[in-house]
Amino acid sequence: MRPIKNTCKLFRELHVPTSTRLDEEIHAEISRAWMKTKNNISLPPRANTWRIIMKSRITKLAAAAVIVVAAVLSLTVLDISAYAIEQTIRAYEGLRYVHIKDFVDGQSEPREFWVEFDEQEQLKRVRVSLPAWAEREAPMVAVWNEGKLQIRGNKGNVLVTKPADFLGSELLNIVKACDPRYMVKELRQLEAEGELEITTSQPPQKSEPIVITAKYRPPGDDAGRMVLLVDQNTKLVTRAIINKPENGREHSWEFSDYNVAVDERLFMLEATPDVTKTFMKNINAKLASLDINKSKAADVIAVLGEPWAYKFQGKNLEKDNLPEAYSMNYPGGFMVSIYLNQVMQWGLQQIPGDETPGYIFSDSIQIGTPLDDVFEKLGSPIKVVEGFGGEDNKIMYEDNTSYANMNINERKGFCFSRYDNNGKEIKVYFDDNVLYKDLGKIKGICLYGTVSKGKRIRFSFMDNKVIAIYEYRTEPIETIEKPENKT
Amino acid sequence: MLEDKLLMWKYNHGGAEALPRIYAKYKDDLMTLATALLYDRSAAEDVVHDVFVRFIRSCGQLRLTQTLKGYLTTCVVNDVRNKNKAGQRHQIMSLEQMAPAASDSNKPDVSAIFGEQSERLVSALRRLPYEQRKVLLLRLYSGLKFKAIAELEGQSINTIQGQYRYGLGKLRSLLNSEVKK
Repeated sequence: MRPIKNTCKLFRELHVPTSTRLDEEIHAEISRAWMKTKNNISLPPRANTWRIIMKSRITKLAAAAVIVVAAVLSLTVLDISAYAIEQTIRAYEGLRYVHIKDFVDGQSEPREFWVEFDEQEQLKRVRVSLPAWAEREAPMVAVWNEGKLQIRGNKGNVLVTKPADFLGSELLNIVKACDPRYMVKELRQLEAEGELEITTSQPPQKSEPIVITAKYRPPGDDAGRMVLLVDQNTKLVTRAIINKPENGREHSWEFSDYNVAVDERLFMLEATPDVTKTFMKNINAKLASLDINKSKAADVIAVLGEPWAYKFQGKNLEKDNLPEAYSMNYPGGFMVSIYLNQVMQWGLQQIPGDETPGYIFSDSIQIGTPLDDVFEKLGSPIKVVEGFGGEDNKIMYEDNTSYANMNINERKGFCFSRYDNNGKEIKVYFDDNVLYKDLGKIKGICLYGTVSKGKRIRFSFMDNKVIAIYEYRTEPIETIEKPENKT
Repeated sequence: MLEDKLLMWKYNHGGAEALPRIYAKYKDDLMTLATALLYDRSAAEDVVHDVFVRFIRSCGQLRLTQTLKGYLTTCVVNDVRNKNKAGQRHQIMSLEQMAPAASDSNKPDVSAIFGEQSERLVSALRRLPYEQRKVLLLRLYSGLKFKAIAELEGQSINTIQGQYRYGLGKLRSLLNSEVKK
């Protein structure tokens, strides 16, 4: 007779996978459910919860007892700052930015997420970087920007904008699962419901992290364990580790750059180096065939090809529904600004980590050229202004927010627009041949515009090296022309 | 398991972000169970589809108290029962039970659905009465406890254990006779 073990083994070998059709149907259903609820999920206000708790007489008595005990303890024990998990929950209030590294045991490279939240604690923008092990075919980079998703295609040659479909929600689910705020809140909730047992250990040295250990109650052979390491100064989680007993593996996350604004350029997708290289090949010759003062959007497309994205104020636009002002974005950070169907400027801004040779001005000035070399080539500035203007440095990362407002016909310089916290537009004017040094009082960030060889040119510098070059028109725009009616 | 507890907590609180993980985690198990009960892949997919659609639509409205796996397994078994009650499967099942387990005409289908590895087990299971087969699958494949199966079936734990013993004995003898052949 067969031992029961063998029979069990036979049962465990049974496997009938679901079909792709079923998977797609269920994913579509999940996507609908997610879209339906994503704006509704919010945690109840703390004040309400507090009020409900404090309505109970027993709670009031207990609270009073706690206050008395705490007062006694504070008299006898000087350390009145004993840690409680609520401190971490409070520390996360108003969180706007975080950088997350997601490590899976056995894999050397982490999944990485740069996350921006809005005031309602909802995801606003996310950059996702998945290494090859996390994807079947190739590493993947995606950017979620307020409901729209951009993915660098598997072949690296196309940047696709997809609607907020299942793929988008799936990516966001991964990000949400890594959100340290929710990890802490969920653990706290599960503890309150008696599902988990949480213990905390606070070392006397402030440099050592507080250790929160969560165990499933009652403990069993298959019970997992989660450990959170909390910075004693900030009370924010720096690391989370889950031990998975079913396979003995560990899954961990590292959290850093809390509330450090994510570099805007990380929310722009760059093409892969080979694609950028192909695009940048002969870019100068291609641009030389265009007259910046006479070219229309269609002329640019005829020479440079179809842009991979149309944008305005950092948001992706539908090709068939373009406003008066927008930009056409190409690989390698190259961009053409269009206003009333006419070219306002073109140029490129360095993509972090991308050193592909690209647009060269005056045969020698390109991305990475030192500031001194620029003046050696073009002549020294007539004036240097230090620490100009910027209440913030957003103007250095301008993309296409200002072209519609550039009064190119009246000034000998250039003008950017930015928006204050109330959404009010603020124009910032710059004169030609003046070096705006340490802009916004940030060392090494400079702006310089001039006219050379009949071309209007503007450079942005970071660490005193060129990070952006833009050439813009010298003749007034034809303001009577309306955009083409694209179909 | 901690992960299931977190998933359940999210689900109970309307966290739709838990749904893809829950689906990915349990879809194949439920599909296998439904197929082993119905012997019809297409009908099994219908069952799994309906179960998950209901589950997704109830997110945040339903409060799960048992394990995720237990709940979803119960839903599948109930749906299979309803299908059988409706007579859509019952006649076919009865006919199949009368047919020789390892007849040539059935072989390709079984191996096509379950793979050659499991062909002998599935062929033997087909010769068991439906109730015994169900109990064996719920205990040995889905890992449900006798108490949970008894609650699911609305029968006493002794009845379920009896069905399990008879079913297991018959299954072993079928598998052994298969080996002897």
